Amino acid sequence: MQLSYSNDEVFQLIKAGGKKQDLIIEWLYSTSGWTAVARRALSKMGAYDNMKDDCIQEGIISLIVDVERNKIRDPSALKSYFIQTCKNMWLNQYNRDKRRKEIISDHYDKDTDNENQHEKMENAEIWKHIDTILDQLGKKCKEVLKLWSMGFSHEEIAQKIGYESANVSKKTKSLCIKQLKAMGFSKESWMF
Amino acid sequence: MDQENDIQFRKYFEGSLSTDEKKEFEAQLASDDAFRMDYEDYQLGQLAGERLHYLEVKNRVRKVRSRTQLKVEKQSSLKKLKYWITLAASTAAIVAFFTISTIRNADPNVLYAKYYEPPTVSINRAADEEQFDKNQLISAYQNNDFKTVINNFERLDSVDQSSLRMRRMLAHAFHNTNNNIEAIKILQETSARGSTDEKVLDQWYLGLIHVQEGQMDSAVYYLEEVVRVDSFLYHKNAERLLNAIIKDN
Repeated sequence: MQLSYSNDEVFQLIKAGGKKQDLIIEWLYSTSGWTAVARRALSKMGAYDNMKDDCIQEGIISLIVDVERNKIRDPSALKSYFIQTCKNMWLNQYNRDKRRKEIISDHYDKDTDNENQHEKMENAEIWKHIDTILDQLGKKCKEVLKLWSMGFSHEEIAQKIGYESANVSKKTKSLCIKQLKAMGFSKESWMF
Repeated sequence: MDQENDIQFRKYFEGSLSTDEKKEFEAQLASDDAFRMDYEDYQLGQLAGERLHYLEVKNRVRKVRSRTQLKVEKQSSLKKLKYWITLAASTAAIVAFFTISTIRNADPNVLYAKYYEPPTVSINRAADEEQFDKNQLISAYQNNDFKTVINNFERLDSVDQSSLRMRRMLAHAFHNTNNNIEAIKILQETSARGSTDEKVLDQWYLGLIHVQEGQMDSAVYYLEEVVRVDSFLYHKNAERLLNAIIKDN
């Protein structure tokens, strides 16, 4: 592992995936200095310690997901993008907490903290429910849905997974969605 | 759901349709049930795929993160260990340096005073009358009455006078009464006659006496002889003394 990587190198290594991507994650957590800058920025915004860790982890995940999904057009601004993402994570969390508190105090005559905690737990339960359903899908189903949602064509998916043709990939995708629906996975389950 | 629909769905899902296209798309959603169901399937597939991608990256990040943390902790423990080892080694080196330099810079005469001790001679307990004079001399020697030893040595019979043990005793009696010339003469003689061990012991004392006399060249000669014998009892002392003399000169 090098001591420093340029934004372009980070971008390329994330795109390369596998061990090269692991190397960048390790670098981000150790000698990059990116996480230290993010941590300082979050401190200034009043984030508490374990929240900072969560925001930084989410920032790294978003960075990788967005690079892989071609959502980042300019690799030279990668560091700023990462720090801004961490800040946004905290702002979202902060606003969510604030909004919940306001809603609860406006509509309920209940203990705010308990209610807030209750709602947080509910959200966690919903995510857990969604993830449990997704976990029941087969390995190939997961891979097809993931690649398809990333914008790969069925020809490319078939090539990556080793299917005979694009039609197999297409059929697999349709079957997987049916399977998900049968397991109770619906659009409504995301509306929280 | 065909490929064309797929592209349209994606554009709508990502918000990249023009206003007119968007209106047209939403109108079709409202009027065409099959189209709406296809789009709902598309949405579900997209949401599931995005979440699956997110979970995969999350697992990877968490795994690398804990591995990195372990590495950092390990490195920090190693750093601490290295720090303590370095500290201990430096302290030992400083102590050793001062000890060696103290010894090296010591005055040879101080070292002589530290190291010189007359060899012990024991009385023959099964002694008969013939041994009486001999035992009396030994007794005087043990009591540091060196003048009596010198004065009465002539009373010993010729056999005892030539005995190496008794001559060495006489040499140390001379040395302790400041007659180093006689002492050196006798020790030179005994060192030439005795066994290897006895010879080294005599050379050690010859070295010490020459140090006291300030005859450093002779002292170095004898001490170098002594230092060659690793098994000798005073080997380390001889080495220190020799170093002190060399440093001093």
